[in-house]
Amino acid sequence: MGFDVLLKGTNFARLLGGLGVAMKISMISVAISILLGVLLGSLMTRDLPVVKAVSRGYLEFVRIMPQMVLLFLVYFGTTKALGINLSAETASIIVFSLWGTAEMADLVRGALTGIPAIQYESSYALGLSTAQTYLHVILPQIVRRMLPLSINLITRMIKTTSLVMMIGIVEVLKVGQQIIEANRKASPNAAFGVYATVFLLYFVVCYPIGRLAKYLEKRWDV
Amino acid sequence: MSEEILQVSGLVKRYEDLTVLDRVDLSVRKGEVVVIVGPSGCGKSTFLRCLNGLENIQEGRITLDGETIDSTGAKLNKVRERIGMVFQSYELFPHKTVLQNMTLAPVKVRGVSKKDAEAEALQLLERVGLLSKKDQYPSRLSGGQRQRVAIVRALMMHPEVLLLDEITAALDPEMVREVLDVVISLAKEGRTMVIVTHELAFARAVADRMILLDGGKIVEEGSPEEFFEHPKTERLKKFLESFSYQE
Repeated sequence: MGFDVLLKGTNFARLLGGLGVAMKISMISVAISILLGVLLGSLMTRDLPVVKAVSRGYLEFVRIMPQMVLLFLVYFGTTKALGINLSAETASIIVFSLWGTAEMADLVRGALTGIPAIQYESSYALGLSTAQTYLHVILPQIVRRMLPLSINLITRMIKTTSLVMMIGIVEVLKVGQQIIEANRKASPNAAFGVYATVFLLYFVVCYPIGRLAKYLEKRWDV
Repeated sequence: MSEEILQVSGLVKRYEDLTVLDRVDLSVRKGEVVVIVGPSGCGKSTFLRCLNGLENIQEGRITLDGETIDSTGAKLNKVRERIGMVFQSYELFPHKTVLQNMTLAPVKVRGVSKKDAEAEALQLLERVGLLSKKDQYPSRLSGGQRQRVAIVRALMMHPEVLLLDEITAALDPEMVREVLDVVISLAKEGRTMVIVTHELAFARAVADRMILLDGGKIVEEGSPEEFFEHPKTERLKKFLESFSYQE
């Protein structure tokens, strides 16, 4: 079945190393996306026409553009056009953060505007101060609304890191390819075993995260 | 007669050019139930919201026991502790259980211990027949049950005045009764209330004094009997007629 090549030498460890690269890129991008997304999202709820127009345009652009095109644009495009020499990893973090920030900002905006005014008012009417209202009434609702959706975004990001091998990053999928290539003669069936293992690795990482999202959604079904 | 607790004099509320409340005067005595009726958009809900400082006012003065209610004032929270308010709907905190909804404000604002607050909450829930729902989230309750919880949640703050803003307007007809029965029992125990409603039969049963608000002004006020049986103004006659059907 071709699983045997993984037991040769350090092949399996290399695969895990590739997974580590993918996780590193996605986790850094997630952190940046959450930070910038919360900022941009809160800004979008303000009544600022310029901010609204710019952020809307940015959101649409990032959504329409395939991530791979965006990767090429940032990695190859900037080098030629702007004369900046980005490492492939930096380029992919920039692209994933651009994408994640857009999606997070939209989630934050939705969560903020989705809280009805009556929630603030009934809290004030009970004598709670503005700070207490945000702390005990508004913020918990925002976090509950956002968390499952942001977790979904994280799993999508991890999966999409498989694209970064196109700009030369050796992540899990690329390591898999290399192993198959190197063992073409000795084990011609390696493709199945290696790709199945790569699939399983993605599954092992993403499935628990997805379950967590489902669990929270159910628990916080409000 | 017992003492006046809530006083409104010359209240004017404007949204830009639109005058919603035009020099309204009202004083409510302790233990009195005042019911305000009027056509949609007459300003009755806005009036209640002003009483709780949820709307800023342009002219006039609202005082609770001599203390001015000012939507911009620093002491607003203190005054609000003493005025309870229940709204039309969707006001329970969806991320908290019934019990947590009820104990939040007493614990955080009044500084009651969690244990004492819970004991009191359970008593109130039993009284409105919802003890078995104490650990449910609001999404699992019917509209009528939610409104009963909203009422007892307001009572947890021991308000001196309770404001009820069309609390049955968003309910299915068969749930109206269970909510209004709670209000009637509160009236019987001598709670001071200002109520805005469309339910005239209920108004008549619960009110000590009726008020017709129209065009931002008090058009007529009187005892329920005078109000419903012997309306003095043409406006009130017309308003009452719009509720009766003839073959």
